[in-house]
Amino acid sequence: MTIAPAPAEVWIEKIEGRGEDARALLAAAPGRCALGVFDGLGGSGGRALKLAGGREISAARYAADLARQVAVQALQDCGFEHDDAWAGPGAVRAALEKQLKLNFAEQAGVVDRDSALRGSLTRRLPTTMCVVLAETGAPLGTTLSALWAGDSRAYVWTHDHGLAQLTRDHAHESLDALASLSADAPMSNFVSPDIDYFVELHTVSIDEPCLFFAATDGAFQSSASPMEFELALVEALAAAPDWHAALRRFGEAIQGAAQDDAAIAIAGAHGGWPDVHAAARAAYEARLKPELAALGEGDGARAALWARYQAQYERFAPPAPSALQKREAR
Amino acid sequence: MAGFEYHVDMVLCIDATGSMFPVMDQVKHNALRFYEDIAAALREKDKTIAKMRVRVIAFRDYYCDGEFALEQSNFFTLPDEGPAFERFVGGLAADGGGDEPESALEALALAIKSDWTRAGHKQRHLIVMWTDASAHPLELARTAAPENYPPGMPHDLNDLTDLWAGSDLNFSAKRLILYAPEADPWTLLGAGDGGWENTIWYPSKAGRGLDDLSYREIVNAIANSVG
Repeated sequence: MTIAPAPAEVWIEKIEGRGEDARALLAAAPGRCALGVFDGLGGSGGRALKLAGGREISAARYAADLARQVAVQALQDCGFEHDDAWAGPGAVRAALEKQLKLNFAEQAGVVDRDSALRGSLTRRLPTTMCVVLAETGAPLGTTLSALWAGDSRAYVWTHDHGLAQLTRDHAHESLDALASLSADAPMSNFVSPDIDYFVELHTVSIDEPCLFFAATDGAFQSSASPMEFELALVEALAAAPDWHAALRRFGEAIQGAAQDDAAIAIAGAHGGWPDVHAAARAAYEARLKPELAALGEGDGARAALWARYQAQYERFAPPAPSALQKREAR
Repeated sequence: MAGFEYHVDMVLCIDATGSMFPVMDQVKHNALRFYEDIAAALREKDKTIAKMRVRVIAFRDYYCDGEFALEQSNFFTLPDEGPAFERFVGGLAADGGGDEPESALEALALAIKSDWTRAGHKQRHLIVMWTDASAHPLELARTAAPENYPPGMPHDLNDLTDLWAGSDLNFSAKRLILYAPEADPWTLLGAGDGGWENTIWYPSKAGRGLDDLSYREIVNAIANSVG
């Protein structure tokens, strides 16, 4: 019943010192792990705030950092570090919603701006949030709970079955993971004191060794498709000599292609580095290398590959919203 | 996103009635710099535009300006057709319109119905409105439409809202930037509610008094939302 490899982060600022993703949240307790990413929304929160001491920070980054602080506090309040006090993912979701709303309402007043701008693209302190809670059980079981608001995502990569997304983006358009890469659909739900938002909870049970991680859009949008995002991860795991070198390599692959800041918080269950490394090499040779060889043939090949890959990729995702839900979201 | 191209179209709706005379030069200046500033902001964020086009719809009042009620251009591809774009904008003069309201909603409807680019993997469709006045209700055309009133206009604000929310525009690509006073219908559109998503509203007369910080905030909001 182990969390291994240990929690670690990939964190990339597209422009040094001006990133809008918070540092990843990484927390572990015996048989339990919490990972989180927080992506301040530059489109809505691009305005600069001057903090005490004269330091300038974008409202987006300020919001992302605040959400991270709130998430850490919510985990502590729910007894994350203590077996006898651990209240579980449902309690974390309730605590997150309550404490995010309290803290963001309070901070909105502190950082209230003099801008006269209004409209749906000018929300105060906007940020996404995605936290993954992992609880291991015997013999190879792991319960993963994704808690999120916005388009930051939770993923699981199992040694035998590959990458799967645990979340659905909160966007005005319900698109699959390939289509959403080119759509830039505006978000329908994210953390901000100016809108009525929610934290969604989705829990799945995994019965094989796995990696699990949370990622901001700058990370997964650095690849032209979900298959290629998995390829970047697996190539790094297969080629590197150790866990941290693999994450450095994965980060370099993202940084080379990313057009945005990127944050990933990642850990594993029921498998140390040698197991992960071996599984990645096997997945690369047996599955990814032959399938992705066809990608050189262009978008048609990518769409055909996605058609074969999608069901496996979405095997743990929440149900797609109904047409009625989509209309209500509008 | 790796390997993706951004195709950006921009439609500039300019109130060219007589009351705009004091600010017309500033609006024209802003119209000419807007695309350059957005392109620069995108370059700063390491984002590349494969193609940018801009067109202009200058409007007055269909109910008192006759054939001068509307002047519109086709899309100019920038920077290649920059001189032609500048000549068109330079030729606009603030005149006519009588008292407010003006025919801004007709201009907005024509802007929404533009022949938007579908090229490339990612598009951004921007409409920018500069006006210092309220707008005629679209219902007025039922009883008083002049001969040159454009065909296919929405019948009322609900129809126009459907047009904005509907399929002619790519939902993810569209953005509406309003420099308009606190008057009908801008208070509704600018709030970004009731179907008017993806909006930024600077409540003033045609952007008069727009401080540099707010201007940069608008440009950044657009630049950050590409990619």
